[in-house]
Amino acid sequence: MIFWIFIFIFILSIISSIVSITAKDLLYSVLSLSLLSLLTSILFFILNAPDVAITEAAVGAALTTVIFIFGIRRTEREDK
Amino acid sequence: MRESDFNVGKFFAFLFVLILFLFMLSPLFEEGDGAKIDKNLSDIKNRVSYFHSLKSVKEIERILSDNNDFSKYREITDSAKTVIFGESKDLENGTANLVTSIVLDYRGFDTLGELIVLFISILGLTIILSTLSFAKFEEPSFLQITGVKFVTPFMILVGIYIFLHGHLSPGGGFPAGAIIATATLFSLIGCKFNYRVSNLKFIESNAGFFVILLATLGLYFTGSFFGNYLPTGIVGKLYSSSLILIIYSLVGLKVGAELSVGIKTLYNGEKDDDR
Amino acid sequence: MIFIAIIFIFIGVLFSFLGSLGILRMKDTYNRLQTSTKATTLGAFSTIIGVGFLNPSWFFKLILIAFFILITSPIASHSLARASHKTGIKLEENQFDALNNENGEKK
Repeated sequence: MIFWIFIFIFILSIISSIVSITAKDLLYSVLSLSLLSLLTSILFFILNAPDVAITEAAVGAALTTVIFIFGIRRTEREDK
Repeated sequence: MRESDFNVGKFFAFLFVLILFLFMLSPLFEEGDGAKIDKNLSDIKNRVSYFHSLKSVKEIERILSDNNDFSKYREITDSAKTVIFGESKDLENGTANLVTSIVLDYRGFDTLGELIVLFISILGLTIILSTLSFAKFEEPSFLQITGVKFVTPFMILVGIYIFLHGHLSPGGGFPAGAIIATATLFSLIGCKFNYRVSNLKFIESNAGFFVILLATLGLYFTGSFFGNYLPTGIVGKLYSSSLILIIYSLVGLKVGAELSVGIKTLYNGEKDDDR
Repeated sequence: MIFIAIIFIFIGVLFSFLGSLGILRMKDTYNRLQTSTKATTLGAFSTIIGVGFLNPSWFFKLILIAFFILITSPIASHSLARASHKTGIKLEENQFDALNNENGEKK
């Protein structure tokens, strides 16, 4: 059971990282990056590392997303 | 404040940095009795080779197979040989969470380096972004204002809980600081709560100063930087770890204040705020 | 006790499934928001109550969690809908917008 949950999260994280690289709209790429760090925090929690999971969820999913969105507001939204 | 003014605080800060610098240079000139390589292990190749690891694995297998009591292999305590949660006293650094005791006690310099890295990055961000002009944000609606006013005290409370219980439960200073910074971000966007950067700077600078001061006092009392010199209590209680509770609280305050300053600078710059 | 808990958890899972089905089926941003927040709030709520029946010593903490979901989920959906209305996303079929003027401009 836990093996298939791992496989599911791996596939989702690979998809979200590919989206975050290839998306033309930078807002989509930032949101998929936040999804990636959320999935990574779930993986850390399953692997018995709750410290790293809390840090990843607080920093990766919340703060860096906000900082990237502030940066996108300052610059252009579309990728060239 | 002009640069040329003589300031007592500046003078003491300079003196403190000078003393730290002398402490750092002192191992160059004197032969301490700190870490020494044992003479039996003088062949350094033997320590890192494959055969040595094989030997140590064999040794552990022998220990495991002999059905010994393991209490004599873990030299943790002085009085009690086994660690019981909620009963045993006077451990090395009475943390119940192993990660915290590694991060703040055995690898204290690592945490100090992380603090310095975060400080330098926020410094560069504020220096670069405080010269730009900034766009206006949307006004929040009534429902957002009430919701954010309800939620943010609980978020700050969760952050304070996490850094106070960093030695008992998972978490610690850095995620607690991130949670506090997220709460201030919510209050900034949601209900236009305009906190002052100068207060945050006061908290941040004093927390960073006291972290280094407490660590240097460890150099005086125990002979090592970040050494524990306060008494430890019962494992599992709040006041069980000696210095880790205080240092983690200061680290959480410092990180939260720093990230809040960075977010405030990203939001509208430091222009319409007192320096 | 376990039977009641299983009934509650089943209701929660059913409503969560219906909410996620609504995201696929609906055409519009606002309709998708409605399905994804209302149905999911009920689903999470009844799942939490079911878990509370399974393990009664957690009941107080679970009520706190449910309270927070009950408060934060409408605010999140409100701000999402407000942002999408401000950026000019229109409805799929019915072009009448009560928040606009008679001429179709934003207030």
